[in-house]
Amino acid sequence: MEQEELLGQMEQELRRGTLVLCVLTELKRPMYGYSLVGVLSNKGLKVEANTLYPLLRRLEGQGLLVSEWETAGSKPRKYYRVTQEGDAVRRRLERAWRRTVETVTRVLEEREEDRDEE
Amino acid sequence: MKSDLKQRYIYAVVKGLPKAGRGDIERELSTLIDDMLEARVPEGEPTEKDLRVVLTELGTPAELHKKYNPDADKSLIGPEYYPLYKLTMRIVAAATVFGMTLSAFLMLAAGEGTYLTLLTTWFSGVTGGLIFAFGVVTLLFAIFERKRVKLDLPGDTIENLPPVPQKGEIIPRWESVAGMVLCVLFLVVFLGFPQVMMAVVNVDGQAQCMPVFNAAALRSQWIWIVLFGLAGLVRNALRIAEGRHTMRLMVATIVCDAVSAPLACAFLLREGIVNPTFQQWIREIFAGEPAPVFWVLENLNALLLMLILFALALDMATAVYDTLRAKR
Repeated sequence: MEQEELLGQMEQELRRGTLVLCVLTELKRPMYGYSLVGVLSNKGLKVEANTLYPLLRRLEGQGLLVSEWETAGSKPRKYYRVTQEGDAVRRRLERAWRRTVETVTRVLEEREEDRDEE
Repeated sequence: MKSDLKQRYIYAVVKGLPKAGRGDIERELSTLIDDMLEARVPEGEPTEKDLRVVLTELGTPAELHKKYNPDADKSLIGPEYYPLYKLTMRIVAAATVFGMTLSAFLMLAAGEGTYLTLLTTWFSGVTGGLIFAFGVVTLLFAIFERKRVKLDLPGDTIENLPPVPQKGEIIPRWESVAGMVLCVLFLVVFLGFPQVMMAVVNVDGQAQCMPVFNAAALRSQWIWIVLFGLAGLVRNALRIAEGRHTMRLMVATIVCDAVSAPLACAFLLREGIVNPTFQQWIREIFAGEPAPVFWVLENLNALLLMLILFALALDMATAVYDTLRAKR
């Protein structure tokens, strides 16, 4: 396997778990799928619509999101927002994420220090 | 843009998805495609080429269908059960072929039919038997998978790891395999070749083979015979899966045996199950014998039933004894 391809796969694996956390965080205010793609993209998280839309449905099925159709505008749009249970899950995920970041940062910094000593 | 490409794309994505959410996904995808087109062509009418670019960006309908499909990760028999399913299938298939072949040789030895008719019967019997065995075993494991029947398979939680079994606790695998083979042989003989259960009688100085059972009457009870064989297969499959004497295996054994008893009665106590010619011959030969001996010989089905019921009771008692001994 080419190094670039391998790297692409690894980055995808790294991002996979973080997407749910970002979605639950952003959906504190109601948003429809495509606007969420834009919001996440503006913050540097590139996510394909074909990944996000099925994910929204899955999270809704798990009771972490709730949706409502808005038909007053030019196009019917399905707005999603996080539920109370979803918010509780988000808080725990956030804590887990921060611990992971701290741990990985510590590991990487130790590696940097070792390199400096060499 | 007058093309119906968008509708065809959405139809291909949602086709086969659960009905409940299909309409919702259709509407949502339709709006998404419009949004993507609008982002691509902010002013003016998008062309079909624009639509194709947007749909390509969304991925093939098959890919998107898979992502929306809640059953995409489900399987008929998952990796947890597959090794045991494969083992059971091998045993049952081998026993089926062996049983059919043995029956064919016995019929040949008894002078029933020509080589050609026996070969044809053997071939159709093996083909039908294997298809039947495949269906039954697959159905059994599909039920295990669907109902998440808990088997004592490696990789369970650390908290409830069972102790390493001592010598007396382990159920030798050959015992269960032999049990399965017997069950398949029973099915093969009772459903496929009941004629092989025969008595060699002397008629006018010549040895003649006389089937004990009435094949047509026996086959008409196929449903009870199949369920009886199936109960035996389940009992032995669970013994292989568990691998040791446990309380739940004991309960499962007792349930299987308790279910088997009325099933055996259902097909063996049917009127006319014993070949009337055989009974006539018994009456002539053993006319002077004491009544109990005469009755037993004339009603071999009842004798067979008693043996089966005794074996089932013994199996239950052994299961209880082995479990209690292992627990101690």
